[in-house]
Amino acid sequence: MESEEDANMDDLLFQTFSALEANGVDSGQEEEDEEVEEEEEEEEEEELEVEVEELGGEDEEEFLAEVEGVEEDIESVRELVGKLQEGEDGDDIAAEVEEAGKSVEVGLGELAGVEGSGSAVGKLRGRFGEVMDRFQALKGRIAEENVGRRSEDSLKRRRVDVAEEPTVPAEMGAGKMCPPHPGYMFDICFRCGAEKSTIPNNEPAQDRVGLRYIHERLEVSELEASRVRNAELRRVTGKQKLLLVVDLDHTMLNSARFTEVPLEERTYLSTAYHGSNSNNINGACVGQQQGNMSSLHQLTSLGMWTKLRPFAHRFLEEASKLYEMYVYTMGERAYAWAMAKLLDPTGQLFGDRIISQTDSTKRHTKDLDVVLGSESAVVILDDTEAVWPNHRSNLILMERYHFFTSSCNQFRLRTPSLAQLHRDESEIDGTLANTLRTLKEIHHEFFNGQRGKIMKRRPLQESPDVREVIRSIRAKLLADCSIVFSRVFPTGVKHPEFHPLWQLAVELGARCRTSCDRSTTHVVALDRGTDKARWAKQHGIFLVHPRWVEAASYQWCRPHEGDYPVSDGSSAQTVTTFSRNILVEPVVIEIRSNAGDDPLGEVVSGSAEVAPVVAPVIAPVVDLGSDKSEAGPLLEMKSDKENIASTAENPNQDSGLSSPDSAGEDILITSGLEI
Amino acid sequence: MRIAILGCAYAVFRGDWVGSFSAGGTENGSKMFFHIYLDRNMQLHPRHFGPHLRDKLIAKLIQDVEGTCSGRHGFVVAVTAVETIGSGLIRDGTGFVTFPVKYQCVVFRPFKGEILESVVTMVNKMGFFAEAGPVQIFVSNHLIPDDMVFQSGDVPSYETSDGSVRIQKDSEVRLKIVGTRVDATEIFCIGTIKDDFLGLIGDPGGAT
Ligand SMILES: [Zn+2]
Repeated sequence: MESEEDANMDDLLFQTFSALEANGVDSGQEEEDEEVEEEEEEEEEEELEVEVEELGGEDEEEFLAEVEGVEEDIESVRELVGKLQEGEDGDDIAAEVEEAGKSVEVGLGELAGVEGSGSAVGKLRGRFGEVMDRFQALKGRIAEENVGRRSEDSLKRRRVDVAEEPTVPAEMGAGKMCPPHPGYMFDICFRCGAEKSTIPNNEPAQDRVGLRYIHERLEVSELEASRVRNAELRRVTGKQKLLLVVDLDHTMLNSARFTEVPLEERTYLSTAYHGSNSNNINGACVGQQQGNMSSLHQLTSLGMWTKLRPFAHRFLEEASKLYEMYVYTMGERAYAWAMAKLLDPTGQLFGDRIISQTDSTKRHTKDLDVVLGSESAVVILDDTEAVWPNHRSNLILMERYHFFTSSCNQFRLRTPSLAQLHRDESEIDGTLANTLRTLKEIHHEFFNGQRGKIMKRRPLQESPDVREVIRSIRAKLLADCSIVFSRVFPTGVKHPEFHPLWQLAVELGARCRTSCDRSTTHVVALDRGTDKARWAKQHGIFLVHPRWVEAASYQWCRPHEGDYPVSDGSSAQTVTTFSRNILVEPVVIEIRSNAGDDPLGEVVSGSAEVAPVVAPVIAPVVDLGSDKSEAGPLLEMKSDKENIASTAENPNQDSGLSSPDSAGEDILITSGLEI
Repeated sequence: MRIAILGCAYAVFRGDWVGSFSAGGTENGSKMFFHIYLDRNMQLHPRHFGPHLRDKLIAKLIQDVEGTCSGRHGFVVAVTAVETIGSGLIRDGTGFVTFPVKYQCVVFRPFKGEILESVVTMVNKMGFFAEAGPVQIFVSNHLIPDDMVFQSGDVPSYETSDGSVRIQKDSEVRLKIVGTRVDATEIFCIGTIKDDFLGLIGDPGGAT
């Protein structure tokens, strides 16, 4: 709305701006703080020694020697880099640096295994990282110089460009290494401040990684991404942690739109998960299986129900001690943040490390490029293998959590949902508890796997890789099993060893054979009538359903054979989960004033102390539902359906308020009644 | 030693920008604030016609322009004077009257090389974001001193190994601008704290 006539004065002003823009208000000093830097390094060394002395213990001397060795290596790398900086011939030295760098990595890896070495190693890593960063930068420059030397013309042209492009501030102290520009924020290089549009278009755009979950205007070059990745690896492993990428839907929780939940399910939900009022702003929380943490949420703003997988809060809390965690979901940003808020109300576990579909670099797949974590230290939890085409070996495939019926429908499952069955996964030995155990094992193997051999320095052995750790743990799951498949594959298949089930069994460490012999430990069959099945029965060998192999894969342990019997073919399988699940039934309990002589009343008054509620109380009744653990190895088990029927008939007895047999049930019941 | 922070004379902001807005300069002096003349065609509803027409116009002008940003001039901090109000022109059909108004105002326009003080808004492994009044500034970890490393955790931060200096959300930081990007409606900056006398000047909640 500015008037055109008076533009003169406006233009004058604009010229002033432009002039300022061009020259900057730069004070023009380019600091050479080499000396200062060196002083700082000496200080650091002293500190390090102090910390090491505090370490104590019998390994101390050895450890100190080890630290010294690594320090020497770092120093030699630093010297080499120094030479490089002074402009000595690049290529040879660069190779030397890389060689030495590797041996430092190895040394650091070994040191990291020593208990209590965390801070010292972290510091060493930090120092080493600095040197390597400087080296990487130098390498970039050398590479560029080489290119420049090869074609004098292009160099000349660039000089002209620079002269004409005053916005490329060659004089800026900060910009001493641009181009190539590491990346852009607001379309300005975040190292030298040059505007993106003014840069000659010689950098291929596909090498850029958008990091929209950090900031929507941030993108970095592939080179910068890998620098950050390495820095992250050093930082995280220096803290004795790994990275964990967690999917939301069907992994940590299950959501359903209001409209997708049928009335009877809603009635069940509101009675079985009726709980104390919540402080949650997002919506009413309804019920709980675990302590004070609610697990069923009604999110009015999103118009959906969300059921957290049992144990989710404890799981994340425990995992966060060993892993730095990311959320990575194909859902939209608003949904992702809402779910993260449910899982992590204080925001301490995920921080801003929440990546949604909006932030992903690719449309239908997930990639670690945005995570900025080194592949060798990232563990992924997801229920869909296909979305991680490039990182399958980092993946712990999770059994899908189908709580709502609509979720089963989406996946075209004919089996009933957990809500339909009035069941839920167990907290004590359900999926997340199993996964936590696995995560702990992976962490332990990663950092302590080479313990014992620690003090002997082996040259050039690569630092541990989480993918390798995952593979080796999986290969031990069925290590003692020798499996024969009976009519699991279509007859006449020439290469049964290519069948997914066969391959899965092999991956889990089992030996697979085509015929029975004395070493056979398991016969896997769909039907009890086959020759091999009968042979197994005669010889007292385990006869199991193919789901037993899958269960091993999901549960990361050798599942109990009795849980996976081969049926006669008449009774259909109604088991929905591999994971142990329990009954969650709505039961009305009346608190009477004369509770003293009533056995039921005693229990109730006990629970009423925990949470003073007004009668009548609706409390969830929790039960193991089946005596799987007591079932014999073969065929003795009742089918799950029968179990459910029997428990449903007799809810009061099965509420466990009578006399539970095993301690496990005891604990479950307690947790079930903690409101 | 502190660089002389000559709070620009325009400390009285009528807009919503408060906080650490004191901008300083190097020996070259501050060139971030400018007192300039601008024009604007104001449309006024006939119901405002009367003895207070002039006041209404000025009030509307202030409401319309203060706090806005034009890529060309920067952020309009405050209208300081109204030079002239031309004769109005009745618009056909609407009855609104358009007045050409010439006014004086203070604009804020950061430039490369300038020093300014800012409040940190977000810290992550790529660097940190800060705000100085209406300007968003990003300081990447390339431009953070090497002895300050990123620490994740409850409150992500950059800190020295001895923990003596810690930059986190709400810290006050003095930085130098290395680049600006001027859009039609916004100005963004890239800053550095990797230089003498730059960096942390105040902890969260503390006064500068
Ligand atoms: Zn650059």
